[in-house]
Amino acid sequence: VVDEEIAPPAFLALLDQAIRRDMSAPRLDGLIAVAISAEGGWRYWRLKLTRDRAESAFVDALPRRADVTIVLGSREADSLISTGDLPPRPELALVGGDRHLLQRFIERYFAGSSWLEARSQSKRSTEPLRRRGSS
Amino acid sequence: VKFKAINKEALRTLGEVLPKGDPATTPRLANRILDDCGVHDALRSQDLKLVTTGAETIDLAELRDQQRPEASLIHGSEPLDRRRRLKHGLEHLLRLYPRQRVDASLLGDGELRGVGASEQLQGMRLEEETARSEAPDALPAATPTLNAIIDAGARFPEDYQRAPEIAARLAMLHMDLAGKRVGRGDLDAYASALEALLGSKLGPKKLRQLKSRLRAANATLSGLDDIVVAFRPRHRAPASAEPKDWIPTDKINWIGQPGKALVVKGSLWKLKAPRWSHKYAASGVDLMGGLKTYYRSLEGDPKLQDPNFQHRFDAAVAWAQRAQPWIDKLLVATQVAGSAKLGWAMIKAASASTGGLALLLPIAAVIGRAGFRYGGGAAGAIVHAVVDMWTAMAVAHHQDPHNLRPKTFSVMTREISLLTIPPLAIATSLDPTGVMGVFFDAFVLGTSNGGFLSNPIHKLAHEHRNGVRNREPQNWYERLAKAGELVTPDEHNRHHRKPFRGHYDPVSGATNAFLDSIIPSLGIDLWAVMERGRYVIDGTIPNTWLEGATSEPIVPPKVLAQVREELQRRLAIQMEQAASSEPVYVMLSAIPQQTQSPGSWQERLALVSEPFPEDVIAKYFADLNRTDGGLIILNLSEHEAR
Repeated sequence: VVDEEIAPPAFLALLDQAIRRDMSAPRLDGLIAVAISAEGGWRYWRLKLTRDRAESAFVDALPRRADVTIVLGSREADSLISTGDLPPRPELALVGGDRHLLQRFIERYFAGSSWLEARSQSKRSTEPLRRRGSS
Repeated sequence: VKFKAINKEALRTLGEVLPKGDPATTPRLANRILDDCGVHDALRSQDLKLVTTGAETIDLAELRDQQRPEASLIHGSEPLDRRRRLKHGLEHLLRLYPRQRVDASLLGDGELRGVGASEQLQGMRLEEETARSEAPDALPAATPTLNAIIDAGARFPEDYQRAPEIAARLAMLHMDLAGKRVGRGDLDAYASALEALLGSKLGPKKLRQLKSRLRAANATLSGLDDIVVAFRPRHRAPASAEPKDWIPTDKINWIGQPGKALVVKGSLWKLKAPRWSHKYAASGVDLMGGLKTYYRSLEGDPKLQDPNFQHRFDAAVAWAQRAQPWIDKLLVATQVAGSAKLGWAMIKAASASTGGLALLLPIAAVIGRAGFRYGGGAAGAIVHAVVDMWTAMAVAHHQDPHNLRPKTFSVMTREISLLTIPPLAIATSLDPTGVMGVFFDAFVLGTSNGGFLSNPIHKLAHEHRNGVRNREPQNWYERLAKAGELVTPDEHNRHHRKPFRGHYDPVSGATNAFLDSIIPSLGIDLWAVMERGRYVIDGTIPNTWLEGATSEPIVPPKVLAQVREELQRRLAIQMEQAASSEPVYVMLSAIPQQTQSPGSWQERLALVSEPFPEDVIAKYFADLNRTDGGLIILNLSEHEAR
């Protein structure tokens, strides 16, 4: 059950926004779960990835056997999105599971794409590949 | 500057590309650099407007708030800073993996790492056990293999969209056949499915190849991606009336004199045959957003009227290029003649020695074989490494080993023959006699010819069915490789896989252990020294430095800093130059693709130097009336647009 009245932590909201903004197929397979200790309890977010669909949701419990599990304290989560780094003396920052999946998830959803990339994709689909030399 | 997902050629060419203002070939790195230098911020500060059906104008912020799919096309207008910081934050979490393990048995497997204490996890609620079963796993048994094959799909840039689908469906087809003996009916079903997937008909030769590959892959499924590689449709340029001698501008070297241009395909040092031409081509984006190559005549080109346009080495270069094929053939003839002469001298020396021909020749053969395997192998390996790391020639081959251009024997042996002919000449002129003379001649013969044949053998290793090229295996090569006399495709292909280091011996593979393990154990990391040397000379980043090549990227931080500094310097020059550039007109449009799944968008960016004609815009609006697309028209300076 998602508590509609309490806004999710900014870290989770940003993750959710990044997934929802990207309409194309994820081409990844796995389950990513994030838990953040907020005031008044924990907040959970999970992302189900299949080749064709990404399903992002705020949930009321952490998936028990996610492929990637991230657990953060609220101070650590805020620091990660405001500075890109953990605070000086982190108290709670845990990550576990499939490192490769997490890496590919970051590359897939947070690569620095822009409309220049859109142009290059258009080029890739229309320009013939030149034959290359060999040694 | 991060090195993930950047191939080394892209990085190498970025410095050349950015000043020309075409970051499209290196989008990710270019985008990052543009981001760092505030170019995207500049773009975002423009007053962008989205024009949709019926000339209704929607504010971009409003569009994003509504979470309309069109908004996803306009990444450049979105606040990237928060996203970037989140990305850095997630990457920071990645770095927690090697940290101390924290007891988190509360969370199922409890494999969490980082900082914290298990007491802090108290109060956390966990989903019920059944929750995981909702996770999609259509092919539980085959998923790891399938995923690996789908990943392999990324190796086909030209059919990027289709390759994963082809690979996945092939894998499912193959699962039906796994464990079975492949019969004719299976083969026919498989072949017709493959034909349907690839959209091309397989001929009898291809069918034979498919059968042999199918049998080879049947045991483990691991050969499937090789099947997809081998049978993927070769990308061909669309049939058009473009004359063959029209070539893209970026491949042109201008030499000659004013009014008399000599256009050369390829770079000069490769010594390609020059062609006189009165036309040249230019790549650009056509009015409808597609990338197209334009051609036009050289007549009237201001370049021809430029009095400074005169190449100093005009005649010399032209004649050297024309003579090159004959020089190649002469080198082959010299190697053959030198080997024959030395062989004859060896036989004469053996017959005059105390042991006689019957005793000495078998021993000489053994020594010659050792020379071929070890001497020739080591020479071939070092030359191979030099060519791979120190010349641009091998870059394309290493980025796409499946793509081997047919080369003549004399071209393949051209470079190394300059090393293998002198030992023959020296041994012949020394003309040693006696038993030791015979052995010396045998060793030189073996070493020289091993080195000389290293590149042709390398090519055979790629043509083998377990190699990557789509060719019938050569039986004689297969037998010799199986007997250990020549390098096996498996051994050579390790050289093309992560971590891209070592296994350079292209002759027999016998010296790989020595060159890759024994020499480094003595404290001399030859390959690392050569990689570093190449970087120092022209900035080429070796494959081994790229993230993913090894468990952690091994790019020296100092090098990263140098690369960053150099790229920023070049970008600053480009921005300075762009200040005076002409305005251009940009059209970015998005049309939903009807043929593909919902949410699939065809994105086009047109960049032209003249305003868009009314009829072109009208056509776009007609498309938009039919569908649900978006269109942006911007008038920007060229620098801002890029």
